Amino acid sequence: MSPPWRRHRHRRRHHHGHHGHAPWAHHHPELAHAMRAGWFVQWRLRRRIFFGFAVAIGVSAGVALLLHHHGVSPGWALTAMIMMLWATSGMLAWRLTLPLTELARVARELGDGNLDARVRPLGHGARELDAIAGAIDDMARRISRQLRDQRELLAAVSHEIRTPLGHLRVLCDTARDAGAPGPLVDDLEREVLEIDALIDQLLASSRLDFGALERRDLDVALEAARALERLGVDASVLDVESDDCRVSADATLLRSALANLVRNAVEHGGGVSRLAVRRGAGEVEVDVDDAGPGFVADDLPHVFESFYRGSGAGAGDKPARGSLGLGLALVDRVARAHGSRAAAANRDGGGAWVSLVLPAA
Amino acid sequence: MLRVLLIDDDARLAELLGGYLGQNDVTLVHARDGVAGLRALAGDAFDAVLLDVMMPGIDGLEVLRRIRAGAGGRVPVIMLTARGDEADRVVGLELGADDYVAKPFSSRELLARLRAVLRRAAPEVAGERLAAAGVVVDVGARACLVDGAQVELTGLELDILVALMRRAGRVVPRAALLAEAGRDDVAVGERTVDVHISRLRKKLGDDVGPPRRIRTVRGIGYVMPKEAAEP
Ligand SMILES: Nc1ncnc2c1ncn2[C@@H]1O[C@H](COP(=O)(O)OP(=O)(O)OP(=O)(O)O)[C@@H](O)[C@H]1O
Ligand SMILES: [Mg+2]
Repeated sequence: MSPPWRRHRHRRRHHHGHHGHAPWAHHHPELAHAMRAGWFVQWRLRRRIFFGFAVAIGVSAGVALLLHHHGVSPGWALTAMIMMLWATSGMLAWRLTLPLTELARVARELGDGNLDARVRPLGHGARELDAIAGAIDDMARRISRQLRDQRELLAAVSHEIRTPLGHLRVLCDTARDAGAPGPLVDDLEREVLEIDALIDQLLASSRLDFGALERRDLDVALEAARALERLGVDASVLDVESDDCRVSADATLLRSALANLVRNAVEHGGGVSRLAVRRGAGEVEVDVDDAGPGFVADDLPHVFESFYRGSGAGAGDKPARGSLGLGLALVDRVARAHGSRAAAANRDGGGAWVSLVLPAA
Repeated sequence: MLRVLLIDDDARLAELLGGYLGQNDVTLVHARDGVAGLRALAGDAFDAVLLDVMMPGIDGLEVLRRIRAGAGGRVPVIMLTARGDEADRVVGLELGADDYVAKPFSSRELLARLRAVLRRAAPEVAGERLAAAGVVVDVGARACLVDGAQVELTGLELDILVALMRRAGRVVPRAALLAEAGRDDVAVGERTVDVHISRLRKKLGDDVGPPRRIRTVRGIGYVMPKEAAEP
């Protein structure tokens, strides 16, 4: 099951498909213009191909005649001509497609979410394609800007939604003290917390979905110390095993992943027993151990799925804050967005082990 | 009645929280931005400050820095943080807020944290006693007991120990350790801190095997666990 905002996105794509033209063309007049100028590009290309082949044929025929004139047998002269034609047309084709390969590379990178990709100068003899290259670059710039605007908007909206949620939570406690039925207020409070957790996910997803990470050099040891401090866990469980634990990662995503790991150990594992940070080959690994009941074996293959909540001890009685089953799914997505991985298992001595690996800076 | 200052741009929250805390013997005074907050602090005495991180104008971190730099800088501060903020660049470790509560918070929990912070801060005048990791320090008498036995410490060692114990359970960066110990006037480098820590460990009987009382967090600083770990 995909979260509602994802479903919405899929629908939108479908809608575009029905119109029968590229969605980009809608928003990017430069590209549309370049497409309309296509006949011009085509004409220039045709002209070049025509002249190219004419020259190739002419020169090879000339060489063949010359060879024949100097006493080479007609069979050999013909063979030489065919070989020359073959070589020159090969070169011609290569020259013509070279700029296209570059355009294709950039298009592919943009598609993969690297919005910083730009077309390299196409070089001489590719003037026709410069208009398209410029249009692609403009499009990339516009998409980056739109994404940034969208993310800022989302952050602002989330902040606005959280404000009344904060009020509601205070009101819940006031209602309790005023003698409102406890279970009712508990239910109310849980709904508030679920909305809050969804906003968290929404913020993270907006970065994950577009692969729009803002990578920075971050010290995982320091981030782990902060996560522990903020969640009120005794920081003496922190075990930094290497000198340099810097990663290249998105700060918001790394922090929410770490917070989720620590929160899980507190909520499901009776507290963090050890948080180890160590550098491996080109990567930094974070291990969070606890001494709780561990994962239920049947749950293990599924814990990284969205909305999967374990069937373990404590799953039946309602936890104090909303449990959505999104915590580990987020951790996994954060890892993969950085080209890395997360893992979970039970420890030999009992308790759970969850690990997050990130690329070293 | 305790007097607590809330510095937050959200007036409605101040009103609602004021109502809740009022029923629990806490008077909440509201300042709607950093400047107003600092002015209120300068003009009046408060038992604690609740400080929002995300505020227009000067943000909560800057306000905290100015509170700590000003007179009466030791007032307990609880930071109200927002999770997942784009603008989230809390440098709490370096700055030394006394606690953090993430919005949306439970007012019950906030009250509990407030009381805990006040308990830690209150005995300062009347012979403060700190306890962590099997070590007890009587700050007023400048005496240190390890597992019940008296231990002699130099002045600087005791100051460093107190700084660690006041923030037990949290990592204290090496650079901040001297500042927290009130010794940033002394010309001691961060390396010298390491030397003093290793002497301290020896005196606290923490120099055999992996340290249990003062643990090193590589690249950052030191931390004392709140409770003594089993040997
Ligand atoms: N440290 C742990 N020990 C034992 N079980 C765990 C641990 N961490 C996670 N689990 C199990 O894995 C399930 C999925 O975890 P996940 O963090 O994705 O969701 P959640 O904690 O239930 O909800 P959320 O994190 O969204 O509030 C949990 O419901 C729990 O059963
Ligand atoms: Mg969780």
